[in-house]
Amino acid sequence: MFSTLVRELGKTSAIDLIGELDAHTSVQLERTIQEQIEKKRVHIIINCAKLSYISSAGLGVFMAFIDDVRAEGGDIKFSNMSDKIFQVFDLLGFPLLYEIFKEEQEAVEKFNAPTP
Amino acid sequence: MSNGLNEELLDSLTVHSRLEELQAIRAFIAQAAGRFGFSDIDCNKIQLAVDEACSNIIRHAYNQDSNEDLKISIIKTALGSERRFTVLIDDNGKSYDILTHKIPDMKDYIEREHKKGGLGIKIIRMVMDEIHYQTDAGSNRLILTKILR
Repeated sequence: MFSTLVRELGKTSAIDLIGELDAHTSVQLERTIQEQIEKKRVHIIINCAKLSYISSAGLGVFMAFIDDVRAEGGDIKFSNMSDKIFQVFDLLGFPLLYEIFKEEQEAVEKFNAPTP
Repeated sequence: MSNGLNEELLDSLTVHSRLEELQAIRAFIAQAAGRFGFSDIDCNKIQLAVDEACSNIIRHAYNQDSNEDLKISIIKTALGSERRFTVLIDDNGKSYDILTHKIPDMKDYIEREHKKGGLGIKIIRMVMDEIHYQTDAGSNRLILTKILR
């Protein structure tokens, strides 16, 4: 089972991932992120508090969108990852590519900080 | 598998070749690996490897033809004091040896090539201790082993 919940926090869209993200359910997440990009909402936080599993198909979704989102001046940041989820990101060196925050609020503040 | 080890079939599961089955496959693996004595983190690694392997078979070997089946068996072997947890994945689809697959260079991948796929096999190789692949007259068997430490 998997679902997403989008919360609009000012210019930022926080997306809660709920359940297990795999080759079957990743299509749903693709649609969710695509909708945000179409609405020009490119400041995206993926909140993993309720994510219990992620496979490479899930990671692939972020890879597919990251360049487009950054080209639009936005980013995909992550928060509230359990050790189990972080382990999968870490295995592939993804912490070099994405900012991962302990709490969602920190990611929101990072998006809201004036760019130098 | 006849390699002179003391082996015992713990459990097996046969599912149709559909991506919807991945969740059941993971639950099956998690339960068996947990009972075997692996930590949560190691259980997750084994689940991940089997998930990646099965989703490759479903998508590529069987082209998501849900009339086809894949069978997953769990074998316990003891080699001296070493306790080995082996997962056999059997299919009759297009054979594909993941051992010959060229793995993306992660530095390039992270810095330049943000592609969607190609990471599954890398994950399998990173998290399991041994990988073997056998193919014979249209039957394929992937053998993934993790040693309990």
